[in-house]
Amino acid sequence: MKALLTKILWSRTGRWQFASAGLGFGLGLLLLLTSLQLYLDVRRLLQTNARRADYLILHKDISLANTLGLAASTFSEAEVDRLRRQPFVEQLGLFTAGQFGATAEGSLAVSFYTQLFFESVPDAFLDEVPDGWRWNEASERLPIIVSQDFLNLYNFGYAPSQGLPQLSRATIRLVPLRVTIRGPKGQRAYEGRIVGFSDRIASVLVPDSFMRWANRSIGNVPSPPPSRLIVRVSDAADPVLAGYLARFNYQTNNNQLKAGQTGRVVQLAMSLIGVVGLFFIGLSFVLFTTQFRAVIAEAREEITLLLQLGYRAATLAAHLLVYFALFLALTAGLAFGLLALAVSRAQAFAQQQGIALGAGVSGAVLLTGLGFVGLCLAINALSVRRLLRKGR
Amino acid sequence: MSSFVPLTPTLTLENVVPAPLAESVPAGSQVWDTRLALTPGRHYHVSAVSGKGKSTLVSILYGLRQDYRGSVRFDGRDIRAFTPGDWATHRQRCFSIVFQDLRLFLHHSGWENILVKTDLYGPPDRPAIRRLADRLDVGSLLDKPCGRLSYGERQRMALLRALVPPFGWLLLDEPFSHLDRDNAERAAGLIAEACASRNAGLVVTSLGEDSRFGASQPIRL
Repeated sequence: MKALLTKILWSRTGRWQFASAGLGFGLGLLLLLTSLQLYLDVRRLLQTNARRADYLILHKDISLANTLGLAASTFSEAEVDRLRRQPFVEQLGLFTAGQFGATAEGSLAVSFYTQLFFESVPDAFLDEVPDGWRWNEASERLPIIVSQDFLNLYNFGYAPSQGLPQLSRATIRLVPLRVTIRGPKGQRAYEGRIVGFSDRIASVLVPDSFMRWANRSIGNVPSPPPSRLIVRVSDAADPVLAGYLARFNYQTNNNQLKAGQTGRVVQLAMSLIGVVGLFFIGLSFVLFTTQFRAVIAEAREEITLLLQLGYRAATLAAHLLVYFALFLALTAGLAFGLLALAVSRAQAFAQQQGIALGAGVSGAVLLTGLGFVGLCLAINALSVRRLLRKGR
Repeated sequence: MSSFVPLTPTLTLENVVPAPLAESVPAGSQVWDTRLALTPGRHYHVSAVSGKGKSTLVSILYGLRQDYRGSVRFDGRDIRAFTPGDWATHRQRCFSIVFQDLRLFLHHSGWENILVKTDLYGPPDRPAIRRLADRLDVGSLLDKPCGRLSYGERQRMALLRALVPPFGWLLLDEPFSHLDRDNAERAAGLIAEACASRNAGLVVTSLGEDSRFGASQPIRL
């Protein structure tokens, strides 16, 4: 690079002007990329949460009439069909309640005896189908899924009061339970095993196949109407859904609906940040480009004279662009560095608050940044060429 | 620099009338609205009073003005068809010039003004440049910004910038306008030497008759 050419071309340009334009560009880039990164992180977080919020468990309001046996808390076929046809319902599953009595007896270090109940839902509505979640008529083993809440109740409520050991999710899977079911048509004993936990469904679940067989062969009602429904909805925050539930007096876990709404608000806020970031970057882009043109305009006399002395326009353009590219690379590098720092700080902070965001700057954000810098360089290269071609 | 082969085209003007003179072409002009061929290696002295188009002629030959009718040809090639690249080539390999308004980088030293031109041809021979500057009595001023020099001193810096690089044609637009008699004599001597060593042509303009270009072919505008 010719030092003399550099000295002549850049001697009269305001360094501060250039530096402040660079600062504007760097900050704009930083803001854009930070908000994009945050947007991606939060959206991923919301999607993970939303998967839980998308499942609603519906039941009817229990009133005195139910207690007195004057009203049914179960859903009729017509009611289920009507609900199934609603546009916000993606999938609907029936809870089947066990029509028989059941007891469970602990063994080994965990000795207890309790009466309990079973319900079942179609496998598609489980959080995940655990290993060993199979049953047929020849099975001596009965796989069971309990709510995570029940385990908590046991560990923090029941176990301390009864002097029983607290159990982790892993150890409780190893505890064999002696499960006995009794009904009008007889009784059977099984070796029960807790094979999984559900965050979604607050119940004690057994496989659907077992439930159908037991209701028919042990219980007194082969196919009872469902008292609870599990519904996968496209959007838990849908106001039409809330209206429908209110109209038929169906109850559900309201927190989930609220979570959906909160997510909406957060997502809207993030979108706004993104728009503001976009606006900023556009502004700084324009500022930087105009500033660069101003630099060239200020060096116009020098450029004209150099052309008159026999310098080629392409040589001068290349010279200017190399400096421009260096400057841009420096600014962008600084912005990327600050971004990485800011993101790692934000993610560490979120981690402390118990929110798991992604690790580091996402590839999409880096690509966006690089693409933007490339675009900026290309547009300015074109404008420099055009400016120089005009002069003779 | 020695391996550099300059371009030495014949410069031909055919019925050229520059726009400013369109209404009043001077009668009996040997340049405008007639045919003029400038032969390589020969020296031409264009003298006229103001407003006859001396600077216009130099500007047309150097590609700075296109507002004329008629045609100008370098070795038969019409310069209207020249691209900016062609002009860059001619300004590097054919012409060296002293503009009437000098056109120096006033914020930069004499050295820098000369070297930015010689940079086009390779590493400069600094001692030779220094000797030339001493002969024009501006050797001690080479490190000063040109903006701080008198007009006469600037004129000599511009002349140095034109005389140092290789060229096939030297264009000088009133190069002695601000030089005293002694300096003008010395400058004329240097110009003659530089052209002779390069076997280059010369087109020089002046306001009136100038005995220092006695050896040149006079041309009336």
